[in-house]
Amino acid sequence: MKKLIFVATLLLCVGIQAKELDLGSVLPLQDVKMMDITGKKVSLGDAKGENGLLVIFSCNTCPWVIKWEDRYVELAKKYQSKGVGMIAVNSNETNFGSVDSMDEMKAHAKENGYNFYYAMDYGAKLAREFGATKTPHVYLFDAEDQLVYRGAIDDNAKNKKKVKKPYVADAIDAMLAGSTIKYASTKALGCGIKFKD
Amino acid sequence: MAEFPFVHSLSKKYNQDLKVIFVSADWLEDEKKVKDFLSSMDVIGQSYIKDQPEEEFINGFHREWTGSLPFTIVYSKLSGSIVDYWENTKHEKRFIEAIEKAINS
Repeated sequence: MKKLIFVATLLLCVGIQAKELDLGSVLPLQDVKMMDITGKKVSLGDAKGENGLLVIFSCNTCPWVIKWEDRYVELAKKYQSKGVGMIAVNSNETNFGSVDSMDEMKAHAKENGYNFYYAMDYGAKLAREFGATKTPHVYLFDAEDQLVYRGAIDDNAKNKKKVKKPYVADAIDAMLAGSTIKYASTKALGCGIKFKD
Repeated sequence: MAEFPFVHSLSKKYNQDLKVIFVSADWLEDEKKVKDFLSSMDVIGQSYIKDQPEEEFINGFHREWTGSLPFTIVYSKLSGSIVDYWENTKHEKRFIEAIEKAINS
């Protein structure tokens, strides 16, 4: 069933819980092992390539993930061969017993042709450390493990044919070319990560 | 969406002191589904749906909003200034405390 999502504005009539990782930060929690859909444990350190690492906080059911995940596959196909590792991380800890269980993750990855790691973030440790708030939420690290881009996949989740700014692809291209990333921090809507309090 | 009935119930609970406005972040093509949902929840009066690029929509509400849904802003009854805001689902206590503060500020 299609999900409907609302911003509730109470008019009558402070604060965002986690601070996002700053650009230039070093890739955190590189050695934390997470269970991957292959049945093997993987860490960010294992996932990174010689030229960088793309980390995507994701899940199985968010409408924005569903719209965007065809581009996950394209990004993996294009850039893993260029030495940029890629991993999707599911941090929806309150849903690990239901729609975001490992079995559901495996089925979702198979159905959508995932060609990259898809790991379960027990305790949502990575999401908390990154200050990730939603799915999808993207972080790109360069060969020196420094954060060079964070935010959205591109500027049009709904229709990839109408994308004008392919943020992540442009950021990776610039990173690999050693040039400046034009949009290093972007925003888009996404489903709140389901943290346990 | 689990918190929707509770949030909707607040407008009745606080009657003249509180106005609850829902803004759908869905795509315009889903407008009918949004209307059907609101009807099924007995929401009457004005509600809104996003009709602009996402980053513009997000920053238009609040610069510190990362885009995570749901997002709630509570404004003061008298001054109209922001009393509290938060991302994601919160306990009912957070709503009540913010609303009480908004009514009395």
